[in-house]
Amino acid sequence: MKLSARNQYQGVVTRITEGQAMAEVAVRVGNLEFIAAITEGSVKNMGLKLNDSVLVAVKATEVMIGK
Amino acid sequence: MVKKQQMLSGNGDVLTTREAAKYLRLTLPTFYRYMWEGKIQASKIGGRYRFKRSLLDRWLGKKSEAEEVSGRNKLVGKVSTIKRDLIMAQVNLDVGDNKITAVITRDALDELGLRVGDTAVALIKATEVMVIKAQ
Repeated sequence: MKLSARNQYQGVVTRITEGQAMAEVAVRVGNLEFIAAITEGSVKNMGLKLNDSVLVAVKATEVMIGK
Repeated sequence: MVKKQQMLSGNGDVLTTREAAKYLRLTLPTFYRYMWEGKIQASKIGGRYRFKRSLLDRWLGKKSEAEEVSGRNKLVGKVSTIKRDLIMAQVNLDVGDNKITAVITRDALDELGLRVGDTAVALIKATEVMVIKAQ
């Protein structure tokens, strides 16, 4: 599926911390690490596991700039 | 004591662990925790830790800008290109080997006074990051 998101990175799941409703997923992209907070249901649906190869996507309008 | 005072007020000098913690007004345990977490940069000279005042100053500055924001994703990079129209602006950052694109309002861009080549931080709330599993 093609996505319009301007920020798309191929990475590997390095950590999954599961809570009651949400899960925190760390994805390593080169020497960067993205933290995603997704629902526990999504983790189950996707069958997300450590070392899975995933795509991280962020809409450009969701990125804040600080200086 | 007098000697110690002189040392603390000198410029560009090197501090011991105790002096560095005092300089930052942190308790020693907190200071050590920051050290182990890699937040504070230390040099080991002859088995003892020493801290450069200029590095501590830089760390203080950084903390007040980026570290006090709750966003889990903070990517520090250089502004590579800026495209702007009347309402919005697209800012591209180079973060290491990766690029990140932000679309912010023209007003925000002008307020930040952002220029190509500037160092800037891209902040993304963790709930805005989508994870897509490869098929």
